[in-house]
Amino acid sequence: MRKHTHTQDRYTRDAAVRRLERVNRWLLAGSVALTGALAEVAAHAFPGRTLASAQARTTSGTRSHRDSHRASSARPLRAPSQPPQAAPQPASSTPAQEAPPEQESAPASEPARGSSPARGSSPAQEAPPAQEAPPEQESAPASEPAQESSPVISGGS
Amino acid sequence: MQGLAQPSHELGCASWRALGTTVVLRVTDIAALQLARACVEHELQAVEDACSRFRSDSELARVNDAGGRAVRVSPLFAEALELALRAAELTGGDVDPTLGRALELAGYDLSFALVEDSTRTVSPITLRARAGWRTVALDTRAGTVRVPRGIHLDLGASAKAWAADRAAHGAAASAGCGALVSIGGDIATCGQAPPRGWLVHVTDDHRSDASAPGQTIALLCGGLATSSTTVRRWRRGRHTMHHVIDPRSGEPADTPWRTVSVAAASCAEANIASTAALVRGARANAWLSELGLPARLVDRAGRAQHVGAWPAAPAPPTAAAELCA
Repeated sequence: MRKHTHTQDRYTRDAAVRRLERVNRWLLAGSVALTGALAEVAAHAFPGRTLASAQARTTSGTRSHRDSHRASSARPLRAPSQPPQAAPQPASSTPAQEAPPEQESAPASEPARGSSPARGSSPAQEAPPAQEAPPEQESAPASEPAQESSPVISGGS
Repeated sequence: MQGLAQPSHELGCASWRALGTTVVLRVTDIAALQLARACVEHELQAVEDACSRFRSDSELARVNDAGGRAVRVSPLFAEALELALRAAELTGGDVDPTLGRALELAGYDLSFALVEDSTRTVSPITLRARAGWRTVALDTRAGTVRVPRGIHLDLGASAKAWAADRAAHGAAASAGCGALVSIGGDIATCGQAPPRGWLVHVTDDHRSDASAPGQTIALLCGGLATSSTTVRRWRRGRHTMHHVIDPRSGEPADTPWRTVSVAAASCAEANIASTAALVRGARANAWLSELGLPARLVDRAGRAQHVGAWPAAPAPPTAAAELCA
């Protein structure tokens, strides 16, 4: 009777040890998986930085969204070092080469879509869009000097 | 000192067609004009080979037709796409390079000369092409690009301005003088400007002349870009379309502005800001002001608003002033 009890205790102990082994294995596997997952999260959350310049960084390596965010944070849109100036006025200009002066907008003239005026802006009234001109043809001979009084046109394209 | 060539200080000017639009080149030394033009033509040809949406042999077409597979691209194309993705990020997605499909659905699936053709058979449409610039995978190390199936890139918004920057730098370097390059009205400068700056007339349409309503300014450095909904308009069924697409709707942007001009350190940056301003609508002037970018916004009624350091409209001409630069 006593021997039977002893054998049963041993079986119980062995079963408990096996259960512990299984639990340990699962714990080990889980911790490895969790470590990997945390490493992945950390890699995305805190990407490493390089000593190379921003220009070099953009040409080497895969671009991730966070990388691009970092790049753009470092280099937002930049203003010109010197803002545009009012054009010098001609001594005697011909009407064809002179932009019509803008007129102060009438108070009753509302924008088409209730848009907000600019802060510190100076509204001016402008005529409706001009009729589209035909595309420019090939230029005059290159040796010909530019007409300095004719500005380059900047408009939608 | 004899034998040294002295700059003529006479502006040289050339104009021709490229990238589907008008190119204007000006240099501060007329003797260097041919050299500068050759450099500009070379740069623009390279950009067209890489980024044209209307050429089946361009790198862009290969990427768009890859059906979601990675495509090896040139460093030039990768740089153009890098800029376009940066534009999307800087503008919160208002400027998006993945709007190619939306443009095609809107009817802008051919070069614009053909889109304008009123005899083309068109049908009523419903536009629902959502942007997805975050889905673009650019691996600059491997030199590959992958866009998901169904997404078509369009670099037109930024690539022309970027090309102007490249061309202006190349022209100034090769010619050894100041250079201005305008591509469809987006202007880049490099090197020493003429004594009184580069004269630029900002207006709705780059094909206009200086008599068109607008404002003439002197550009001293950097770039200037103008975006407008009054050009590249076409009819699709009963709808009037334009080429500035709102990524959130996939349709032509419904904006209170008809034309926005922005000055920035480069033409590419100016173009990013002017295009985004059209899409942002009423929030645009506050955004531009926050960025410190000089800008001129013209609303649908024709009222111009100046932001930041944009110069005031000129006073009536005086006899003492001289225009020549």
